[in-house]
Amino acid sequence: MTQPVTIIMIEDDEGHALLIEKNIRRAGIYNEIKHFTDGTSALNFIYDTKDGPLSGLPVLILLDLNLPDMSGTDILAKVKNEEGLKRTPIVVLTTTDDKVEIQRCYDLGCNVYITKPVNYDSFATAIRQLGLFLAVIQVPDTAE
Amino acid sequence: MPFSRRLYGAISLSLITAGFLILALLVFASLWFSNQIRVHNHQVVLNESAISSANSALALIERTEAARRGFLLRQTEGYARVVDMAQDQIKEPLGKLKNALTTLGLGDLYTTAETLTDRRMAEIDASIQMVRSGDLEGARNAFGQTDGQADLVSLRKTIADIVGQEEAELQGGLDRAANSAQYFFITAVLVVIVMLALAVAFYFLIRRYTAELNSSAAELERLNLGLEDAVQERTADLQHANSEIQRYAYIVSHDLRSPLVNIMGFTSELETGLSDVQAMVAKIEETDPEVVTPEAKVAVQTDWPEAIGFIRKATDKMDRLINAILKLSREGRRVFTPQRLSMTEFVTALADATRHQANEADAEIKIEPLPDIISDRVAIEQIFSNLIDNAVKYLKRNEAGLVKVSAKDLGRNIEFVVRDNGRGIQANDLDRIFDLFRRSGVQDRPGEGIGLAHVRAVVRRLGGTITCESVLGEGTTFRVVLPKVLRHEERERE
Repeated sequence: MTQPVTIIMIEDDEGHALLIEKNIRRAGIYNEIKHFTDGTSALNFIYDTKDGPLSGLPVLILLDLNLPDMSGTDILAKVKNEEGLKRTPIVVLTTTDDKVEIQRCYDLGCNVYITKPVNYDSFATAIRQLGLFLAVIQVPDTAE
Repeated sequence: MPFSRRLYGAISLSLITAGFLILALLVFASLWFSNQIRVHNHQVVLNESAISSANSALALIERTEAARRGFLLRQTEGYARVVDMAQDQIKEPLGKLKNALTTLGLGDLYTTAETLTDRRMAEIDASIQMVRSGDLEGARNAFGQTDGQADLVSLRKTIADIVGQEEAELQGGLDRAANSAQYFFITAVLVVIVMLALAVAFYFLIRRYTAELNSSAAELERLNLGLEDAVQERTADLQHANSEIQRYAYIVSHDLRSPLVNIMGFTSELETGLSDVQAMVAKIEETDPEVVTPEAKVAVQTDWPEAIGFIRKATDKMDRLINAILKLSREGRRVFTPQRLSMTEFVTALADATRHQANEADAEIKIEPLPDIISDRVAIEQIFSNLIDNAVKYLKRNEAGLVKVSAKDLGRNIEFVVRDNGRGIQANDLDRIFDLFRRSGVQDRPGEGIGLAHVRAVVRRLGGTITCESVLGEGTTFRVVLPKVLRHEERERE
């Protein structure tokens, strides 16, 4: 029996978070979305929750790079270097479309990199497509 | 006090001139002295010739006298022959004597000697002829009765006079020749001393000058090194500041984007919601018209869509501006890859891209032959496509347009000139047009005011300059000065 995937959204901008959630729902994805506005609380959840991701809760992480307390790439590196978490899919969803930054994220092990388009239609389309992607993605069973 | 190059030149020139003057003096003196010696020698030869010919003439006369006496005593024909021969022989020494004495200015003395000699020889001859004709007695009587003895005595005296004078002169001539030689020697020695002194002076002058040159070269090198360090320091500072600004622009534009996503996103949400509300209002109006107030209807059908439209327009513009800043800051970080560009073809190709607009504006784009440069292809393309595009875009509507691209070689750089006969730019806008988001003149063409700001940034990064001249209503000229070869430092930036 597979447990439903929890989506961890680390996004400091409440507006963005709401728009992302709305569009994911519109794409027909009704998985639980846990929203954190800073890196510290997100890491606390990932590492310290009983029955959390480290204990086998299947998760997918939506990550913004510009966070108030730390850089998103730090979280990316940390999660991808953790034995129990390294297969967790991470989708970087950020405003930066700098090539160097994108390469760096892929080097650190990010699975998908999406630039938030300012144009809302493109933004909505991108998120809905992400939703479709999430619907078919197979999240590995982290608890072996 | 350091010795100026000019002073060195003046001193060395005067030393060399002095050397040449002294050498010339020496040559002149040697010519003069050798001429003196030649003159003296000639005189000495003449003197000697006068002495010897006077002596031999006297000896011959004495011999003739003796032969005459012998003939009178013995009538032997041998004596008479001696006299006959003497008549001829006397001519040679007399000729030499005449020659020498006339040259020496003693012609009078010679005339005396000749007259006396002639008279003696004539008398002797007469007496010989008398004996031959048998009048021995007459001849013997004649001997001793004539003034012959007196003539002979004065002849001897004259000859002695000549010899005495000539000997004295000979001695004087020899003395003078010796003196000349001595003076010449002294002159030569003096010249050698002066030349040596000049050479020594010149040597010290050169030594001092060389030492000064060396020290100033060392100083220059030191300064140069310092300058290089200073330049490097400044360049590093500038690059640092530049990259700081670029990072700043980059971060700012990203942070500006984030709220924009919200504004646009929620505006869209409002729009989506609004269409539902509009549909609802329309439905209520049909079923229950009293419920719908006119204010609510206007708000839903006109005011809100209008407001949303303005918000969208503003955010769209904001988005374009942010993208422009991003593009500029990204451009500033792009690494140049220099390559050879045949500019004539390259710029022609860029002009062809605007051919369509040019044809619409009834304009001609003329590309004169342009020299090749080694530079970054993308950067050059951005510069010229912007300038040509602008030129075509702002032509006058009522006049056939002409855009001309030409170039001038400035040595290490090339000045490219893009000239048009368009509407021109107001003088007080000439600086503004290169600023970001600033435009000039009638705003009847699309654009954000980015092109020229971008062009100037690229030109500066290539190590060049761009200037603009314009007369309102007559046309605009952009001058872009670019290095022929993109410098190494420029390539290695970042």
